Formats: sequence, C-alpha cells, structure tokens
Amino acid sequence: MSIRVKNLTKSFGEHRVLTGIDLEIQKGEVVCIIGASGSGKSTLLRCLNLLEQPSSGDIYIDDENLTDQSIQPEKIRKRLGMVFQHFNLFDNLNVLDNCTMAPKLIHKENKEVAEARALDLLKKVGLEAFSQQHVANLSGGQKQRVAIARALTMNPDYMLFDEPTSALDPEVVGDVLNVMRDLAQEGLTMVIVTHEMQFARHVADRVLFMDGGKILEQGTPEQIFEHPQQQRTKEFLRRVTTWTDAN
Amino acid sequence: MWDLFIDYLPLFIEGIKVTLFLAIAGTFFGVLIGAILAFMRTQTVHFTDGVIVKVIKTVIRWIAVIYIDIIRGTPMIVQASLFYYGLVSGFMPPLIAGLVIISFNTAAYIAEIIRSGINALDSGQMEAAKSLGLTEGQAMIHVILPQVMKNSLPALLNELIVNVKDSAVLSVIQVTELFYSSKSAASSSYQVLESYMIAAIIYLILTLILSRGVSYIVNRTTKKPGRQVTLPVSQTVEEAGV
Repeated sequence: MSIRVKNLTKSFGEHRVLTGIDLEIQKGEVVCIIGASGSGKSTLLRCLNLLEQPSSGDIYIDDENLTDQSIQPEKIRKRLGMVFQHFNLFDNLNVLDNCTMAPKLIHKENKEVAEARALDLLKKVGLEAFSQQHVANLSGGQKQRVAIARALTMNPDYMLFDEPTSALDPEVVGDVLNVMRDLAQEGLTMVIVTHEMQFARHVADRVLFMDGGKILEQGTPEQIFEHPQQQRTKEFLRRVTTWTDAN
Repeated sequence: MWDLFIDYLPLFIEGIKVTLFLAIAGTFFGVLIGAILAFMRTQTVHFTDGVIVKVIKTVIRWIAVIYIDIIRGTPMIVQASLFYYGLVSGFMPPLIAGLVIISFNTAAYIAEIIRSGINALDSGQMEAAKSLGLTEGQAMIHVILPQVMKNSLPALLNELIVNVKDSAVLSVIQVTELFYSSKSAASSSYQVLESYMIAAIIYLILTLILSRGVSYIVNRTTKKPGRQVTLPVSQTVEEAGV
C-alpha cells in the first residue's frame, strides 16, 4: 500500500509547474511538503487525486495507475480524502449533512449508520454540539475541522491536506493542527502541504522541500530543519523562521 | 369603463385565470427544462473521460447551445404560430399548446440564468464534491444546483413576472388569456379604448403584486441562513470573552 509518483510533470500551457517528480509514500507515513509559493506543492497534491491532470509521468495509488485512460477518477478519489485551504464545505447543507452526503450516496450507507459515524467523527474534532448548525454559522477553524471530519467519513486510505491552516486566524490554527496531530498518531497516511514549520518538525515522518517544481531536498524533520544541505532550503527556512527589520 | 368591466366580468376573470396559469405553470416547467438545458450547456470534457464520453458531452453541449440560440433569437409570437398552426392545431387545444410554448421559451432564458449561476459558484464546491468521490452528475444534483437555484431565485421570479406580460402574445393562437379577453370585449362592445385600458390596469396590478411578493420572498431567503438560531457557545466567543 503506497503512493508512488514517477517522473511526474505538469504544465499549465507554456508554464511548467512540476518537473520530474519522483516520490514514494508508504502506508502510515506522514509527509509534509514545504516550500515557497509557486513551487508546485499544491499542484503536486492535486495531481494525486486527479483534480489536476498530470502532463506526463505516472502516479500509482496502491497498484492503480492514475494516468491509465480506463481509470474512473471517482473510484480513486473516494480513497483519498482531501482538505482544502478554503474548507469548501457545502453551503447548502448543515454540518451533519455535509458529513453524511458522500457516505450515503457512494457507500449506500443508510441514514442512521452514516449519521452515527459522522457524529463520532465530529466528536473527535470537538464539534459534536454543532452538528445541526448551518456551516455559515461556524468560524474558520470550526469549518476546517468539519472539513476534516467530512473527509474521514469516507474512510480514506490516504489524506491530502492543501495548506489547511493558511486561511485561518492565528488563534484557531492550533485547534486544527491538534486534530491533525491526533490523526497522525493514529497511523493515518497523510500528505500535508503546509507553512507551519513547527508542526512539520514535530509531526512529520518526512519533510519534502520543493523549489521550482522539483523536490529539492527531503529527509527527516531533523535533517531538513537542523542540517539542510541545499542553499535554497537554508534560505527558505531562514526567511520563514526569522524576521528582521533589515529586510 | 367600470360598467364595461362589470358587464364582461366573467370574460376578464377567465382571462386572468388563464394568464396566471400560463405564467405560473410555464415558469415552473421552464425551471425544470432550463435546469436540464443548463446542465447540458455546462458539460465540460475532462482528461479522465473516455473518447465516447467526450463525444457525447460535446454533442449534448451543442444541442443545448443551438436550442438556446434559436429560442432566444426568434420572437415567441413566431414560435407560437409555427408550432400551433404549423404542427399541432388539429389535435392539441390552444391552452396546452400555449403552455408548451411558454415553458420551452422561458426555459431558454432560465437556462442562461442557471448557467451563469453555475459559473458564479465557487469552484471549490465542485472540487470538494469530487474529492469525496462524487461523480459530476451527483455533485450537480446534490451540491451545485441547490445553491444555484437559491442564488438565482430573484432572477427566476423575475422571469415569472415577465411571463405574466409575455403570455399576451399567445392570443395569436386563440389562447383565452387576458389580452384575448380584452380583445373580445373590445370587438363586441365597440369600447376599444376602455377594453384595452382595463387589460392594461389588470396587467399592472398583477405585476405590481407579484413584484412586491418577489421582493418579500427574496428579502426573506437571502438573509444568511440560520442567523437567528441560538448558537451553542462558540469557541471564538468564549475566547473573545476571556
């Protein structure tokens, strides 16, 4: 059970976003992807569940090749949960219905089973009391925790997080990161694009640094944060962790 | 004018009933057909589609494009005459033919309202639905269209008001709506000015009532949902209170 990416490239028209990405993620691994804006982190993540079309190369989810023409994307996607920067909760539904729609439609779960499971997951993210609320009534941090619960209702083998805390107020970022840390400790396979360096340092099994559409450097959090080898990695880490008046 | 109105009261009442029936039922069916047309019109070919699906989607989209262009590019009075006198006058009563015409006509305009609503909706909604494993059709029915219909409600209700007025052209195929009634009153009473004045006043009253009703409904439904509900103690409030 693994995600394997081989020589993946992605271009938007003339603009090349990903170049020759090779990557293997084992079941149970927590991988954080860091790097500057425009380095291709989100595009790489979005290729993994086919929200973006790879231009060339192969992506294997377990043993299925996503670039195979016969692949049905919805069959693949239900195995990869995704959490978005802007939550993307369904605005026409309340919290509970957000979490039960997909299991009811796709796994043909009956209402009671789907709701019991959704309530369990909402409890896990600390929002059981909000199950009947309309999503418009929630704060950003609450919305993101609902979005995580919603993705988990499909029992995904892998979870993809696309900058899950970038749109949040600073004081609620911790609530979301705590939920993610708990999931990591339970052994869920997670690929996380993030700017939260402290989180990556403490929760990731492996950290990838992306620059200019390539994975420039990867290793354990200690290797990347304490002993970066590449000049670009050092520069990036200095810029995100320190601020001086001189700049 | 009042005497004329009283004399021909049953005729005018019949006219009002038929006009309202055509406007309401026509808009209702128009929304159903329009939603289907908008769905057809917004089909996009994806890299994950097979060749056959790509062809089907392209054909479906073009059928909708051509239909919408033809309907919006020709007057309803011509469509009605062509359909009724040219095709169905022998076996379809005028009222039913009129309902068909107004439904399929307004559907083309409603399709464009719904299409722009689909395009205006945050693409994240579709992406989230897909990421959970929904097919595009499921996402459309369960996520996209419910939101688009709600957002488009003012424009859709406006279409109802337009149909109250536009149904007048169906008099050309002998539908006994309000304008047809006033024409009958004019020709049998010889009080032409008064008859058409009555028609104008009734149309004005109908559209004024409807547009006020629409404003009321729109104001109620476009408020943020659930705002009045008492919230469980929210974290942000708690933190702010500390």
